[in-house]
Amino acid sequence: MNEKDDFYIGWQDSASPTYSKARKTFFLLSLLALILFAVIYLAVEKPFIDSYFDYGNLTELEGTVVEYPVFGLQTTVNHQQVTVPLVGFGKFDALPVLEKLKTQANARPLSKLRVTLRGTLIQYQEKTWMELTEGDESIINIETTEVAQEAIRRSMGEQRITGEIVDPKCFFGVMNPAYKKIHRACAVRCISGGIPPILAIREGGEFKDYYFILDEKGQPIHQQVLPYVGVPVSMSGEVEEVEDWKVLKVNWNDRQALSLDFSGEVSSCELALNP
Amino acid sequence: MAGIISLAVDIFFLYLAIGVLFSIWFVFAGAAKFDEGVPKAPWHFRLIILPGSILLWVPLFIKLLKKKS
Amino acid sequence: MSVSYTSILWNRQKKAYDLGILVFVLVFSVLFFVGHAVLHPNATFETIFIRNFGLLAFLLLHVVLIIGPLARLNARFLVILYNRRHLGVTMFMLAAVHGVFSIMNFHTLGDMNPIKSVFLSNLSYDSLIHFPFQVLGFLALIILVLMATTSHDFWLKNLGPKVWKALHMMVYVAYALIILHVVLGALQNENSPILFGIVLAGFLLISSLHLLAAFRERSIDKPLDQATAEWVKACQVNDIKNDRAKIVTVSGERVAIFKYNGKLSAVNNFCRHQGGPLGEGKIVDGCITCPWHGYQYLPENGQSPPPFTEKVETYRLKLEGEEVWIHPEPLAEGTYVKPIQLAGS
Repeated sequence: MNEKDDFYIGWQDSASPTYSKARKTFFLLSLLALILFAVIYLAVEKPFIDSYFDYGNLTELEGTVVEYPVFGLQTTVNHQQVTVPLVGFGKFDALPVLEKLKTQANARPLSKLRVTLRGTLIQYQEKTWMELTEGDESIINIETTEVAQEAIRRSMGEQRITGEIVDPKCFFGVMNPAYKKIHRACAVRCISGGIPPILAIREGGEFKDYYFILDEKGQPIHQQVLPYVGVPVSMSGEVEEVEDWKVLKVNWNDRQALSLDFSGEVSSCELALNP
Repeated sequence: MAGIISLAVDIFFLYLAIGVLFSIWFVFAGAAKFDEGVPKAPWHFRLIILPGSILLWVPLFIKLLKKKS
Repeated sequence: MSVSYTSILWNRQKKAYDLGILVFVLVFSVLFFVGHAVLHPNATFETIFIRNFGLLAFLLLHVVLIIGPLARLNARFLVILYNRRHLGVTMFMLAAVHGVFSIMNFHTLGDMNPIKSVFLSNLSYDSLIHFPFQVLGFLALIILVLMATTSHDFWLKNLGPKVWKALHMMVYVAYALIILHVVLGALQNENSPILFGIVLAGFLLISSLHLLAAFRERSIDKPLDQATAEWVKACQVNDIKNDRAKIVTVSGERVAIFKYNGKLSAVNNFCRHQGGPLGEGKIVDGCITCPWHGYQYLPENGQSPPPFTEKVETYRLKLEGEEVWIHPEPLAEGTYVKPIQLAGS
């Protein structure tokens, strides 16, 4: 073929040397660009926190069931007395299991029960959560004790705290990253499904402290929190220490009690739907 | 606004559901009514036009009606 | 098109092309997963999976979008244009894996229908900084699924070339939505100026190539002087190379005047397959051959050789000395026009 009048026909068996060379060059350059991009991306990608979800493994924990500030188990993890908050499978709470426990307790107070529960551990820093993966089947054993285990509570007065509302199930291990806008939709689903919202505080780029968010009477809230999930917020309320966790009780009817910090603002659509 | 979005999604699902029913008939019988290349086509051709038939059942239906009239 | 359809018309060059696409996907994915295992061991599998497929689709979309203008600027890139369809469908499949898995991961097993959750979990539609970026990705995916599912020639024929082309030009709308999806989602999260720079560079590359190609096309589209209604002077005989064409614009249409075997014929420039420029093609085995996908037409009547059925409009020509004149009114698709015999042939 006359090189000067070279012509490409795709359905022929092969391309002429000119076109074959052009194809190879394009392919190699594109592949190089692809590899370069992958390397750059891996180099600049934000680091992931070392949270952990023990997916596929079930662990038994024995302790005392508590209902405040959230449904949890006072127990020992890594030789430390902790309260392990309990959540359900998927994006739901574990309150049906709590109801089952109460039924099986036969009017005995929860503080006088020694319960063994089985589930999947979720861990980050010194905090441990547990997903009661098997639902009602998570209850392995219930025994009565003579001595009631009461949680130690201490008021720390009114404070204004700035942080980000996260869904703790994902945040402490099930997903990573599980904060900021990229995770907002999932966090909304989890909190809407009953998982207790947490205000996570950052200092120097690291997550340092966590507060369960309740209403001013210490009751759980979910829907009211949704417009504020995944954005920087400041909240005022009474702070309380309950064993190894902190609680922030916010008056949700007082608009001055909460605001979006820095450059954020709450969408008017969301406020209209969640007055 | 949430109500409108929710309704729009429901309508979208309904549209797809009708599309699924339509497409099953279309790939085996309907397409042959206006394209002579279809009757002798192999089964994998019908499979490949199935998704498009689900999504575009409205213009295809209109085309079939026009052909009929 | 042949009389009977099949699902995919493979040939040797398409297979080589597709092998190249597979290499792309595998090399990136292996590098991405292994890279995370080494550099970011805390990353969960779901996050790596979602990012891998999203990034691959995003990068492939850029390749898809630069092919068109590159092929207009340099004919060597026609070899990449040939199987762009498969590249596009692959890009859609990668985007679909990303989208479906993201919806499964973030929106299922909750208290709301997952598709409704995509739209309702974040209602900040009146905020730019908090805009629900996943909605933008979902809408882009709808466009891509429409394009991918109509990429077969059956749809080209039965939707009609104009509707089909309009549908597939929506790739630019999808691109805009995806850019916003990335900028208002992942980029906001990563907030790396380097990544932002790369996205911007991609956008500038695509935009500048399109602008360059557009300027070049404009310079071709100079309509002929139609002082008299009957015949219009098109060019000189020597302006047309053997077995090639000269493209002229009459009555708003591009027409390709071919010289072959000492004869001249004129057909509409628009290939009935996917709108390729027939005038940039060549006479091969007596047929006008489209440079994009090799579709063929007989020059004297604008018909595809049997069993193919495509037809283009033909035009009347006359010779005055060495000047080629064209009648601006096209004849119906497939109409025979006796070729002009050149002197000395």
